[in-house]
Amino acid sequence: MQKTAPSDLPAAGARVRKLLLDLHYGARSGHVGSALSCVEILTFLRLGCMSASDTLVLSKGHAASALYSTLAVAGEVQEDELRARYYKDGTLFSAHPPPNKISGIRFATGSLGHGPGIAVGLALGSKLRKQPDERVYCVVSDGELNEGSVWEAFAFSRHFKLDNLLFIVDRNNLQGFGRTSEVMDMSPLNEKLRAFGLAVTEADGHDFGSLAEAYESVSQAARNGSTAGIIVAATVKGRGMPGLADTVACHYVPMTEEVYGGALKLCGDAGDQG
Amino acid sequence: MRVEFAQTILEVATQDASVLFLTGDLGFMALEEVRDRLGERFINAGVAEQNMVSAAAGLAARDFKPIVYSIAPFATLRPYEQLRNDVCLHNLPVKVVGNGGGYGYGIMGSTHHALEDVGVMRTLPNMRVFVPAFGSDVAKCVRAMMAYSGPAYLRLGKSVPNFGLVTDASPWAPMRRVSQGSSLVVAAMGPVVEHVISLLPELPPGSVDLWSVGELSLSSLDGEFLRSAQEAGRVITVEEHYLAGGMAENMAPHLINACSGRLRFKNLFARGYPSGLYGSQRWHQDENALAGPGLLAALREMLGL
Repeated sequence: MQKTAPSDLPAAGARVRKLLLDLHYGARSGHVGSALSCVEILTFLRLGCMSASDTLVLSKGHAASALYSTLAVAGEVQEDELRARYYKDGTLFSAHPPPNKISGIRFATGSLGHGPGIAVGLALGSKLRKQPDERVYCVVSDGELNEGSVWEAFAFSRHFKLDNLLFIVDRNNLQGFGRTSEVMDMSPLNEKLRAFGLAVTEADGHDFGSLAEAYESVSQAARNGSTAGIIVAATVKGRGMPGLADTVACHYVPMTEEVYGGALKLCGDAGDQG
Repeated sequence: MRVEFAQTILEVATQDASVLFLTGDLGFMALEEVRDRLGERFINAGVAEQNMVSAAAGLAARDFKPIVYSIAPFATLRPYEQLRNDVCLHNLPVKVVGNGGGYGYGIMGSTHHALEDVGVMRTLPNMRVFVPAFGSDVAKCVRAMMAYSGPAYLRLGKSVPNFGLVTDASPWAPMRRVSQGSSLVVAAMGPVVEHVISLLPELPPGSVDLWSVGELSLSSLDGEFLRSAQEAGRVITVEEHYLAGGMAENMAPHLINACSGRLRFKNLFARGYPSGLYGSQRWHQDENALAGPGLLAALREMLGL
């Protein structure tokens, strides 16, 4: 598994963004806002950080299209196959990832709050196997932090000193039926995470430089503190969708031609080709 | 059965370094030796069953064979979705062990009873459900469970002596004949078989064909059992579990197909808390006709006595 050079990550991210927009527009499928929110996070992890022995758990399984697209750009999933089969009857590419079928996707996710527990098990397994090079990455949504099981996993990761585990919170401040501050206010979030013993840092979740900087500092802090790291990545749900970015609606509504066209503008050259 | 269970786990874990033991902070006066001898392979996951099961799935994905242990309702119901999604959908070899099946925790009360565990667990994809009856079953049951490549649930209960009726040398089987008879077929799930055995002297010799059921789902019934049911035309089931999802419901389609209309099928099962009162396991069993006079009356009625 070859890592993408930092300077090439923005172009790769744009390709992922373009691909998932095409998929959603073609399928008239929802959840596009959630996928657009974590494009750069997934691109950064899968193409910029991960080696072959690492595992990625997308706990916010409703962003599956972003994961499929990232894996396609990484060459692990056939892009033609993805474009032809996404969201269709008889597909492997359902709206949430399936179990045991797609290379690069070890676990089916979709019910929130499961990924962190799976991730701590993977990370502890690597510790018990004495495999220091195996790292585990787990992407959670901020609404998902309502789930108690997430905090069970955080406590576990601290107790078992899982410094081979990195969580990333896709903090777009929106959840199913409102703003996170209105639905279930988890603030002060960073303080809560620190109180659970995690090494916490923040990043701009759409900026590869910011993600890389946060990754370096939190990995170091996690090793020093013998605990898991967590990056709280500020993101915009539905980023680039005209009139829909940063709204609850972008979680649900399919894109019109106008919205699709507008969203492509953030894809740079990749968008121009489409 | 915890003593036999712990002993077998020690043996299995000694032979297989991939066996891990996770507990939801339970095991006082039972699992100390397992903890001390397994070292870092003994993982106290705290009082957090959902995370414990998800973590077990992650560990299984790293080629470990995790055993997940708690009191039966906490091992099955609390982390049910984690079992379905993280373990069973991926067909991972996570072994769930619930102590105190049925009314096993007696006077501890209804929150600690498991009267639906077998039913909910056997609906899960790939899941095998083990309900050993006799103390002498536990070791071979645990070995069968660990040898299976997918997920499993083991319901531990009171350790019942086998009265010499089932030989220790016999291999693990989902159904086994305990005593032979020709008038009435009795199928008992797990340790409640003890109560039927204790009543045999009060029934006509050679009348009761008694079977011990130790595993669900039964994809088919033992051929001898079906022949006996056809000939007797009368089957009674005894289980410390709700009717919904239990052994009787599991057997019914097979019996209907085999006995074509001429069958009396009576079911004794846990009805919860009919009086609204609480007591020892035996007290609850008596109240639900799973032991004692209620059970005897049901057996006699089915025998036409």
